Amino acid sequence: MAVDELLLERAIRLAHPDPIVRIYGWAVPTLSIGRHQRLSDEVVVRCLNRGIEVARRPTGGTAVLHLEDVTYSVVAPHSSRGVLEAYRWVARGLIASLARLGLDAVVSENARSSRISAACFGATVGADLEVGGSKVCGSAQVRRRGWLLQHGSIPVSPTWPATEELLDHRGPSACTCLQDLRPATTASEVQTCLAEGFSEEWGEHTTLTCTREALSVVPFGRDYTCLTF
Amino acid sequence: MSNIPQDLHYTREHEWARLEDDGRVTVGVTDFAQEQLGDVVFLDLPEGDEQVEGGEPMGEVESTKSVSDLFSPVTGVVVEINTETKDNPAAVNQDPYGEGWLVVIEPSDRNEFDGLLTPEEYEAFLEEEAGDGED
Repeated sequence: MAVDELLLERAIRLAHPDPIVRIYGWAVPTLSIGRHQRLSDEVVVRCLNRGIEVARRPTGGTAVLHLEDVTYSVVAPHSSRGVLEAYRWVARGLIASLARLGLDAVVSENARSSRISAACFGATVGADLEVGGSKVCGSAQVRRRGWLLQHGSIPVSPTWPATEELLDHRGPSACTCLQDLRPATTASEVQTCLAEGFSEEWGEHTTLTCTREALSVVPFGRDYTCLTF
Repeated sequence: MSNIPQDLHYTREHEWARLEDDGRVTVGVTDFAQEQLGDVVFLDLPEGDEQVEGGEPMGEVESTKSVSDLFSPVTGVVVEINTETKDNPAAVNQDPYGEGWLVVIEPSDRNEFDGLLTPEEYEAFLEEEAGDGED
């Protein structure tokens, strides 16, 4: 995610006109948290004891536990799109990607969250994608000087029980994962579908990087993830 | 349709500015901005006595959907911060032109305020942006 922020800064500096999409996974379990999100000491200790890295995203939103998920980032000029319009624009690529898996995803109609949860998958807002009424992709943005960086996570296998326990979250979640919707789905299959879906929507000028290896896990304690609690 | 009070000036970054009787400028984000952002959960505001530049970032607004730069409409010194809104960012959603104001700036050049968008110009800008943003 540090790489994503560098791509954003570079795109702003060079006035790069076309979208850049990165698709990746995580080598070690990681809890990514929103730009200004605070975690309690108990949650941090729980993460450390379980070998879960903590990384702070440049994007907003709340905590995402990356176990077996597919993470994407999009860097692009927002071209006068407001926040919601930009989400819908990126969603077109995501919806086309999930359709390749036979899944009929839609943008959530919740303009506002009914409650604010410390966990991204604990609430659904208009930035999210749902399949059959359950959240399947959570996303967050940062906007700087006419450009945006959007991060999103699509859980492949169930992550909610572990998230709930890690964050001591209480209350219902209406989220799902790809293997609940389509048994035996693999992360590499999803990565391929995302690459194809974004290419289909945005065409040949899109820069795509796709990897099955973790690229940018920044260890807890380094400058980028220097957390203050 | 967003609420655009007639007694304020505006920026293309969706901030409003009000020239007070003492020459200072009160700043907040517009109704359109708060609607776009969704639930505001965190405000990173400049410190008191901090020098800010017109058109340059002076802080951040984080919502459940996005982190966006907060731009200063004018050059000057921050003389007041709304600590109540900083502690309760939901005020930005509930009352963007009232309780949800963010900072007061002592401008170094009064003419800079006059160069900001009028309500009519801001309304036209919103319509233009809505057209550009359509795919």
